[in-house]
Amino acid sequence: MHWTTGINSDSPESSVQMGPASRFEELFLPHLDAAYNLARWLVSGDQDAQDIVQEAYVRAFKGFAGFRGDNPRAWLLTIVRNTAYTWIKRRSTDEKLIPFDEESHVVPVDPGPSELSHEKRRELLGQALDRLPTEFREVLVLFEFEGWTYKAMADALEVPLGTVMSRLSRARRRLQQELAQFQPGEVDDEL
Amino acid sequence: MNCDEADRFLDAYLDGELEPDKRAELEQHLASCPDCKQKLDRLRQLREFFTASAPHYSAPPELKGKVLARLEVTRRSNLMALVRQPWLYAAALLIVSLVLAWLNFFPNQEEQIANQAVANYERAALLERVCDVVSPDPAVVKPWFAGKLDFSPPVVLPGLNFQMRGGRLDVLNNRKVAAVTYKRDKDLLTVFVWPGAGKPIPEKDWSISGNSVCSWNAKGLNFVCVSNMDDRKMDEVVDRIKEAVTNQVVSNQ
Repeated sequence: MHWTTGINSDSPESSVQMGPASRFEELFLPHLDAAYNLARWLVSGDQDAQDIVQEAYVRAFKGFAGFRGDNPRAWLLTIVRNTAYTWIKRRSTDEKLIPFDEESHVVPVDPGPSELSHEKRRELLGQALDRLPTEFREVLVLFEFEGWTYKAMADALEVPLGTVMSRLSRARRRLQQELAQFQPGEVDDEL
Repeated sequence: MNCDEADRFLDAYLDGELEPDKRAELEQHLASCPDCKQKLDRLRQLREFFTASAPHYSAPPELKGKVLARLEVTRRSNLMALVRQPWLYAAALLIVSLVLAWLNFFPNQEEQIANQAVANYERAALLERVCDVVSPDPAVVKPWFAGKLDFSPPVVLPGLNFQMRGGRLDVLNNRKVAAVTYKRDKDLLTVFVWPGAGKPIPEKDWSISGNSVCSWNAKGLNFVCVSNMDDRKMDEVVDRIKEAVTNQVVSNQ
């Protein structure tokens, strides 16, 4: 139980001036953006991502006594990730999600115009990402944006190193595949 | 290395995660295989496009407040949960009991000294061996102590019809102390003195087995005074002694 930090009498509104007692906030609030970004990548909706981040901070707070590491950001993100998976699992039993079938999941689309604006390509990337399994999006965001090593991901995700490697590789192949369908003429030149 | 193998390692190679020996093998293959080289280039382009174009979300402004509010609620409920623990009260009660028992069984040091002083006082009175040097004159008593102690005790006259009977050596708290005795009719008063170096005795009063006891520290010396008088009379004499000690020490300097 971590109650020795004392009571922060500040109301959330006056949170800008925090007492020195809130070491937890000092360590973890700077990573709010990263926490939100990861949650948003894993569950895609803004409200859901916000709920997950709040839940993750509460979990982190309760487990703070066990925090021994020197990397609060990685520790927090692992909790965000686990919270998101709990949330997804709960949601999927509620809604009876159709199991993901990789082979049949590539959405066939019209070839479309060969010249696509930058905005349009970003949009297409976003859509392609939405169709990726959560596990694939997870390794992409942790590697490309958070700069985690394969080893760090293997530890946090509790999977073998080889699994991390193949997930990342397959995630990229899938993106290539999907983007190539949208713009067959461009891939060779620009992508 | 063939193309299938190379394909498996392209990502790790690009990510800088391939072990050196595999990396060398792959590079060798890439140098001789334009197809795999092209795959690598496309993969690199995808990564560049990805890092430049994939969405990067910032927390909405209201999220920080929400998180802080949840933490606040968690803190409060943690504290409430603690307050509701019955073992907390049991533990507090146990600690208080132990402290009280401790204080009861092991009185503080000055109280031990006061008790010893009373015992010494009563033993000396019973054995009628109140003084080693008998004289009403400080000029006789003070030099008598000089060879026997490692400090020079003040020997004063309190007035108020008290007559000095003399001085003796005594033991308090495992050290040699000076004891000076005064008498007025049936009132018998003994002042114990020793250096308070590092351990000044606090100013206190006790009533121990019918005797009045008081302690104080002055001019670097500890004083414990024991007498069969009541508190009020005792206070009167003690004030005179304190005053005389101050004057004597000052005049000695």
